Amino acid sequence: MKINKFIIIVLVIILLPVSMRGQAGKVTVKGNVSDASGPLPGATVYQDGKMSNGILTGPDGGYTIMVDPDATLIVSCLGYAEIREKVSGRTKIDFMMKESYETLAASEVVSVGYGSVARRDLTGSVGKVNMDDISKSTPMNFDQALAGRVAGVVVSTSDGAVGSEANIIIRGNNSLTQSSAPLYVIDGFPTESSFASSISPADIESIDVLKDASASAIYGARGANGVIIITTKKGSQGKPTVNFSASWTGSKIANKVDLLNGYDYVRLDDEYYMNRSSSHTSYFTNYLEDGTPDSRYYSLEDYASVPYVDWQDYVYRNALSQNYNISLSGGNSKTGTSYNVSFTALDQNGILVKSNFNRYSGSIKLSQKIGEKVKVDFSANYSQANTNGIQPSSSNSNSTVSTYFLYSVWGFRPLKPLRDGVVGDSFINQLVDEEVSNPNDFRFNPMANVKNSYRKIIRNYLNSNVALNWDIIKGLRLRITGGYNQARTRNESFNNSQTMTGHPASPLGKGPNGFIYNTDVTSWLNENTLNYDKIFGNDHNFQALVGFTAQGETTRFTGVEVNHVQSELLGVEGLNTGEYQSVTPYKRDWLLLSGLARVNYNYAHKYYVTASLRADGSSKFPSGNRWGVFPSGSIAWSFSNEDWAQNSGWFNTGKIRASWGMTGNNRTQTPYDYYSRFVTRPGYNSLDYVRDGKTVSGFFRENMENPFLGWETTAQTDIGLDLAFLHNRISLTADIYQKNTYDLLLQATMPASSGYESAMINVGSMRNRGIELSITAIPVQTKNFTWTSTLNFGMNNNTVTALANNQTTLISTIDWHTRYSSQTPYVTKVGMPTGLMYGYRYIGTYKYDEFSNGTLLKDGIPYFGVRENIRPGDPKYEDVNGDGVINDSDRTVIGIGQPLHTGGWNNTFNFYGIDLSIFMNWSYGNDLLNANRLVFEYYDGTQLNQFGAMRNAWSLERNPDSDIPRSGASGMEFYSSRVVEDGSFLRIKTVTLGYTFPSKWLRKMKIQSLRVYLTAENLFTFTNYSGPDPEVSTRNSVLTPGFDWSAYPRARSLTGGVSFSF
Amino acid sequence: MKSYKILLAGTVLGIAATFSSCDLLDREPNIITEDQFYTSSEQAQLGLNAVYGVMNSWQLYGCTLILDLGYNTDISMYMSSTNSDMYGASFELNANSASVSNPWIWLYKGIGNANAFLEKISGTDLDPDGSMCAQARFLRAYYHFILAQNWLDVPLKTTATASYKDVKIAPTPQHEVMKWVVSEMEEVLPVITESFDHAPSDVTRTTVHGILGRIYLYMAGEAVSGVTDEEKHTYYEKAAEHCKAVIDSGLHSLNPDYSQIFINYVADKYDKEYHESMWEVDFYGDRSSSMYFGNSRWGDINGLRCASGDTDYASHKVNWSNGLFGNTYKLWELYMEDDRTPYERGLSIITDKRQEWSIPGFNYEGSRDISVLYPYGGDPSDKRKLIAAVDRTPYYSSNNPTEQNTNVNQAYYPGGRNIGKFRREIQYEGLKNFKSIWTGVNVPLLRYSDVILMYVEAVNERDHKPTQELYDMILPLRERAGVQTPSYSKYNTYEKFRQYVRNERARELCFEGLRKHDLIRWGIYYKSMLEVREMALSNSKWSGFGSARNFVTLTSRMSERNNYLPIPSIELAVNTEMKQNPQW
Repeated sequence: MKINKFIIIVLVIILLPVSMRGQAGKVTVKGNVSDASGPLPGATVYQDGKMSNGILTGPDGGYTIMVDPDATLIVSCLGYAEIREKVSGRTKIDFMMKESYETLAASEVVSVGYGSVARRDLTGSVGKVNMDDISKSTPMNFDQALAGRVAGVVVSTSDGAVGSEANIIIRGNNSLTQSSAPLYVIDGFPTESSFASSISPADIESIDVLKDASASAIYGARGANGVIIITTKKGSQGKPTVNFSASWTGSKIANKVDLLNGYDYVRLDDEYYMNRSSSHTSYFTNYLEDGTPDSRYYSLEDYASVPYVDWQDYVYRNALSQNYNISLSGGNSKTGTSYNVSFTALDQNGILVKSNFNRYSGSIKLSQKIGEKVKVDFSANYSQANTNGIQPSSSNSNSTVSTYFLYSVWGFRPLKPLRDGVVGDSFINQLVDEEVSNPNDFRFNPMANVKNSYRKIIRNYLNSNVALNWDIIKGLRLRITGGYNQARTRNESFNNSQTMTGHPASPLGKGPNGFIYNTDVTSWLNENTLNYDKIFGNDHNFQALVGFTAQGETTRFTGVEVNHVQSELLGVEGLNTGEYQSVTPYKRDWLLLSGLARVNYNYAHKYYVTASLRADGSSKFPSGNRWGVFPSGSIAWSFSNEDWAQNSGWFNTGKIRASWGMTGNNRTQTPYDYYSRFVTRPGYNSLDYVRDGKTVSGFFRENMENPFLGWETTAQTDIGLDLAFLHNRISLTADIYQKNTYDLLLQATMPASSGYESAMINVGSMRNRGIELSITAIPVQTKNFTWTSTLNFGMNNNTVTALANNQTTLISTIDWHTRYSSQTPYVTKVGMPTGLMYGYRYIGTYKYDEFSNGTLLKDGIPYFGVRENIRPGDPKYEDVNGDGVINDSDRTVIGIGQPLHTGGWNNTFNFYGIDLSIFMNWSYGNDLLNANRLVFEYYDGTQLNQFGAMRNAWSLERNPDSDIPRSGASGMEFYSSRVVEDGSFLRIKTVTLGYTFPSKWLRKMKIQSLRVYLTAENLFTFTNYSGPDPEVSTRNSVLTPGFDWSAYPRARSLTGGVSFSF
Repeated sequence: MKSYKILLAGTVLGIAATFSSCDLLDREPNIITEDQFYTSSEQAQLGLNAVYGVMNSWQLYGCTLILDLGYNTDISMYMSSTNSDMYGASFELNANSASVSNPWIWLYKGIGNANAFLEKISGTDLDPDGSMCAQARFLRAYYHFILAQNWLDVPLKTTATASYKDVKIAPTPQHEVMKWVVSEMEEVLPVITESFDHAPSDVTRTTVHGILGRIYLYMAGEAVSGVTDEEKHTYYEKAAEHCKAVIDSGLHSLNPDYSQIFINYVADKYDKEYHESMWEVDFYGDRSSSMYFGNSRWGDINGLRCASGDTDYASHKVNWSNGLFGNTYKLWELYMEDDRTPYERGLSIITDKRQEWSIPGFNYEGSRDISVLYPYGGDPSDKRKLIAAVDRTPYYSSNNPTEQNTNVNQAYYPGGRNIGKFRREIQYEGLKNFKSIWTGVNVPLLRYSDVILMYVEAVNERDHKPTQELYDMILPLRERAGVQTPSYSKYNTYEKFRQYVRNERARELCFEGLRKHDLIRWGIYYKSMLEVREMALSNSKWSGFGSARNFVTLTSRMSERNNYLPIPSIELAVNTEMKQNPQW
């Protein structure tokens, strides 16, 4: 039910006094108004031709009205087709209302920042998330549920970790080194963080996405990446209603990785030693000999029946989750009060042992009228969210690859040599593998590690706002708001002696260790707006807004980090018993002052003009550059409201929009980037000196002053079309846009000879162009069966048009494995999209007949490094420049990080009370860099188990034609197209089957509504990607998209839920 | 109606007031600026610390500059099969390597710090006698020398970079950079103190003389292009002059116990008696806590291996060491064959104490059985103990230091022994460190024995003939080492004496990070490596060993271009005035 509460309130106020009066010569008509799902409160019943005689239906849908006996009654309700019926002397008339998409579309209200407009009056590009669709199942976090819901909004999660927040990009990346995440406005409070793990989705009333400049320019300096407006639920007039919902979810790992079994592993290891040996008869082998070189006591076949361990079975589990939401809302129109209070609890277990996310939140919204003209709104939302357990995608201590959790899960040996007499899983409690000799290999029993590592992130979040609304005269409203927002994050970690880093044998030598970091972000906001809304004559609709706002934020960080803890039994509480490490605390603050103005004018809902202007002053920039002015303008022509169109009859809505505007971005690294800072830096990159055996601090100028630092500016043009046909059975919104971003805020690399490594400067430019399309169709609409289908599609083309200092290329390295640390898997080039994958082009393996005598590579075949070292089965790369050798200059672009297009498709079927919805989303055209394969499809004899693909590795005897390099191949340690894969996917994301009980059954039990449902999530994914899941980006940034290394695996889950209200 | 007009007016005025008063946006940033900071000499000293402080980073003397980039020579070699981030040591460098860019960045950071320091302090009463500025200028010149030595033509930076718009700097020819370096150093020489109060971590006047000697020798050698013969002669002359100044000062003498020099480095002790260690980079701590956060990997990478995966680390009597480097057979021969008297050559035992100390016949990992040594720790079934070094832990097995059996030493492993100079025994280091690759071992920059050897070399090169006097100057080093010396008649020609001095530098100064640039200035780096490669392939005393095969693999990746380093690509990318060095 879509009800514009505001209109109801107004109508109640206007109509109530009228209906109270009884008059002679009239009849009293009673009855009920209902729709397919039950009683319909808030519908208007009035006498035709006499609008003043009307009434609203009560909560039970009932009405009583006194009318002339021969009158015609009209029943109307937003979102429903109007019904006219002659009274004809009857005293009881029931009405059955039918939903009408025509009126629904007209009534849909969209938040646009500092106000809202009806969708039909919109001149900019604003996407509205259909919360009904999302809340049919109960998502844990709202951000992940947005994926595929709005055209042009790309939502992705780095991996499947519970409690993690999604990366949301609207219309492509704007920045290079700084965040491209949108601005979030949560109950009017602008922030750069989504707080998605802190806000319960059940509390959310609406989510609107401001995409073009006309819409987002009202947020000026911070609107360049788009704006997401989140509004939480308010109370409504009427008797108290309790909503309760509960759901229970079971989840399990969607795709385990195919690892080698014991036999295959031993064969691979055997082949390694054979391949590395100069003669095939004289080599060591770990598994086949009894300890003496060249004497074989065991054969490979002996291992065929030996049980082996798949460590994945010991670290993943089937997990149960539960989610409860309860809210009470209501209001009293006489006293002018409305309220909504809610409490939610979520306990989500992850499929990785000990991983868990839980959240408890309470919120209250209260609105009270004081006299006729003043209304006060108050809202507060408080939550605590805890994330527990190991995060596989983050390193445990440093850049050594083995400190990542999945390295040990996938790599720990599946079995031990038979000569050790340890067969089957009897070594699962062994903590370290004695065969590991590399001092940088931290491989550790993954089961013990996951159980004994303590990780906890506690997020406390408070968002509180108070607003005073004063209707000074009719149409003129002053709104003054004050808000306070606090986000405290406490990050705790403890590794006891049974963990990878805390174990006495760990090469890191930290002993039991742990840390506590506290980050405390507080911000305040004051907004003062004056809104004027007037209709001149009949057709001149005019709206104006002026205001000024101020916002400030302070971030504080402190922490303690300790190694060699003596009393490990106490965990983080025992940190005082160890050796203190250096943790640099900091405090940062900024202030933003803004003035804003907007004018909307339309003539008869046909011709629209909107203009807005915002000026922002930010303390992040030096005084000369502080103020930025961001104008925007848009026009629209609603040609369906023209007389000729109304008569044509074949379409219902038709509007063309065009907008242009400028928005900014002020996301510097710190709020003090333009200052030259004088610092001392203890620790790893210290410039301290030691004199007379004591450390003495060194103070130095860390960066140079930048008196020119200023806004990054984006100019965006958007042309859009809204159409609806066939009684609104088909509606369509299409947009085409171009964004030019210049003066990029870039953390630019300086030549080291300058004495400084980098500087925050405004340099470079970028362009995003794209097309967006949303289509809603109702192919079937009968009394008891409706099929609604919604498709959205977004295509963005991103091009870097200039970089710093005439650079043509910006390279990015990824810190995950020392072997690859000096290679650059990503480049960003002028004239091309950001985040291209870069490396050698892999063209298979060297085959036996390319060698003389099988050992010396024949003339004319390009090779890498030393020709004599190349052997059959080694990887072969393309000699791109054709100079006969393969070296650095043969590296080339081997993959595209950004998708060509993304979208979602939702189908809902309603059949009597049964609803079925199937939601799919996709991403097409992006590549992924499957770094897992650089480790697990590269056997180098270090007793590291491998992926199943290595079963088919090149082998002279078994697989002479294979293009998977041999065990122990040389020339493997490069980023190449061997591990770059197509990351396109189509995912059946959610399938929900629900049943809503008929209201006539429930009425007796005084229950307003009752629905039960089953939801399957992540049911199936169509993809060619060989990794566990194609929605992955463990090093997500504009410059380094789609990197897959040690990602938390995604779960497949089944949820059962119930929701009812009374 | 009236009230809202007032309010409206008020609002407009409020907006106007806000916009006009930008002062509100002037936040007091939570940072310090130099002007706030430099208020006293003590604080100026903190700024000078950061000019010195780049040296005791892992990027420069702690690890990369010397151990990674400067340690593969004809006498020492990298012995690990994995490159473990040691791109220089494994000859797998390219312009993208962090091993190339990090030292470059840190040297220029030091130069940048010096320039910023000088701009703020020079001529102020915060440095009344000018000594701090003199040190900053010396260090700035020294860093330029290291840059030009390793990267040939490099940007010469004498002012702090003021704006990001002004960051493209053309390189200055290597010879010009070096000429500027020596003129700077000679200019500040009189202002630098002679006092040893903060030596050897801070420079003294004799240190500057010694370093000038080193730089002049380098300029006179084969490495710097465009130096005329006349200039070479002058440079040898200057080198001799500066070294002589050190010798004549009488402030420095040889420590009678060769091993004690290095025990001092390990023990974090300054030699306040003989001042043989003239300049060193002081490091402190195993990183167990923030107060103890060392950046040195000396003793770890170039130590006697003690890196067993056993959990009984706590019971070891030595501190952790990965021991990634070892000697080549050439060093063994230099001690055992070259410049020995016939009598000593007939002995089957080691007589040179420097050999005993630098490449002892054991390390601290492996089986605890002394009697069985090669090849697999005596226990072929136990491949864990398969390590490329002699396999003995005498200090562990007996709980007491045992005398080394010199007979045993010679019999096994003439190449690929771990380096013993910076051995991390608790009895020397003074404490049991936590298991850590980070050490507090100090790094020698200049030793008095080096100055003596530089002097005799410079004079021989200048005059093209040796003298008995020069010969006699080397004798104390030989006597300290406990070896006999063939008579002067064996060395009385220019060539013979030159070879003798070169050999003696290897024996005396091996593993101190000087050899690579010695070979380069003699113009024989690549040639010497190929000679040793030939030894590894054909000398039956060595060729069978894993270390010999490893040396062949390493040198197969080498060429003449390894005489210098590639300009880091991060510099080339943004400083378009720079060009890549040839062959890279």
